Amino acid sequence: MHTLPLFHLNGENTIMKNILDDNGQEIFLVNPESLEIFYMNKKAFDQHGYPGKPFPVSVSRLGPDYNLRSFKGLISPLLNGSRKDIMLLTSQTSRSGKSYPVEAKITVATTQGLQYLVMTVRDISQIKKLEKEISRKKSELEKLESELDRFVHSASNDLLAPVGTLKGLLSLVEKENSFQLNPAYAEMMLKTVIKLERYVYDMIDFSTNMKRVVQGGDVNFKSLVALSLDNLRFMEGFMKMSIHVEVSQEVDFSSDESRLQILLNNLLSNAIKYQDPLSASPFMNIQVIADQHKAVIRITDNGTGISKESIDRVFDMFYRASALSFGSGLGLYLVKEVVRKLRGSIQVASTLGKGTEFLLEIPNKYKGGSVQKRVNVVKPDKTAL
Amino acid sequence: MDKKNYPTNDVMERPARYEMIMLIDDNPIDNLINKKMVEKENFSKSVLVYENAKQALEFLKTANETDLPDIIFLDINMPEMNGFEFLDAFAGLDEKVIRKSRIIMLSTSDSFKDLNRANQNRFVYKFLNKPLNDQVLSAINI
Repeated sequence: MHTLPLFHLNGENTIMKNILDDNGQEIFLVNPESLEIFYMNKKAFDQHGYPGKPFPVSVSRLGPDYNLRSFKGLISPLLNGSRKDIMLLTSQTSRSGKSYPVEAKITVATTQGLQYLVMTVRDISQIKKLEKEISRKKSELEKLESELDRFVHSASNDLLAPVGTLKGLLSLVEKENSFQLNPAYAEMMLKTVIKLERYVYDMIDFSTNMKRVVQGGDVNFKSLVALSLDNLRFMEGFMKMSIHVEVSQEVDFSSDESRLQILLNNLLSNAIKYQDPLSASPFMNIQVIADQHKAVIRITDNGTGISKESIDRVFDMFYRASALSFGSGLGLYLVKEVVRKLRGSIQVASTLGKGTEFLLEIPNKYKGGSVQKRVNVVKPDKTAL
Repeated sequence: MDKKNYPTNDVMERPARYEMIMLIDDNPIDNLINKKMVEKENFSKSVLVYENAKQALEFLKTANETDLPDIIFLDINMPEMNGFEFLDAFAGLDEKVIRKSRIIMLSTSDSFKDLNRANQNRFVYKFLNKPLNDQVLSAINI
């Protein structure tokens, strides 16, 4: 059994000491027979050394992978000369009990005829964090790419379809060769162009949501709902409906106003679109309850509803559940994506033939923080314009 | 069920090329355009129009052989049951239907995926862009 002298660094070796202590890595010198550490640089000592009884200390103290049996097996190729160095990816536990991922390089050296191991250990927590981040960004990118693919495929379809229809109508007009444009054709052309316009708007909203950073700003739910309804007032079926609005907002609420607008526009227009044409009293109820933590938005209607088979798929891209559905199929998918960006949640409940209810929760970006009480409770009022 | 049976314009001299054709498209305007084109070209004696693929299938299941269409113009993009789903169900229909009614698929997309998928289906005779026009109709030779 040979013993290695304890390593002393005195005044002449200040340069060496600086190099050893300041390179940002933990450096250990290990006795290859007893597997005891007989030198630690400053960084290693700070993590693993016990002032008072620093050396020798078994290498097994460093972490679970350093147990003597494994370690002996690990270093044997170094000792028999078959390998020059060993790389080890593992974790170490500091004396305070903190565990951190490391990359260790072990080599063997000889001084004055005595063999010893030099172990250089790098803390890779930062690298691991970056790896995770890259991996997350990569899946996000892949998701975006596949969505873009489907988007382009359907965009070409959805935009070309009304264009094809218009071409057809115009050819009929040309063939029919009369002096006056058949008013029925004119009406069909107008309907088709409006459809085309809506698809384009849907797509603009969609790509806006995909890329724009989520904004935060003061949100007033009462005016948001009013604005949405105002935008929809020329929609077919709007006049027939009785629309009931209840907004309760006592605090400042911060969120992305334009995204909230997209949510409301889509959900409210759906309620109008899918009202029961045979009903004597189609209605829609919009309820918003906003507090310092979140806003709960509930949109209920007594329209045609969603079948059991379709309800799980309504949020899918380009899925259109009903034969009545003449949209792009992007609406609810967009709603789902906006809710996701806002880190909220959405649920739907429906009975075919009876009605539908959407329930959303949107977090308040002013969560917990500013609680400036602004009494803004609005009594239920009928805003059927 | 949306079944429209229009006789051809009796000013036409040459006989109609087919007895009956069927249009399946969820857009009533597209159906109107196609029907008018078919009539102007005297392509068939009568035209059956369906806005719903499921309903069209019901008709095909129960119709007499003489009432079955010679050609079915089938749109791809439809809610509830799209063109490809219709083809899957069509495969399960009676031998007499499969023999008589040849299918031409109509679509707006240039999508290779759709084109390939349609051409690989043994019931699809052709894949055309919609809407129909005189040139395309005169090129059909089943």
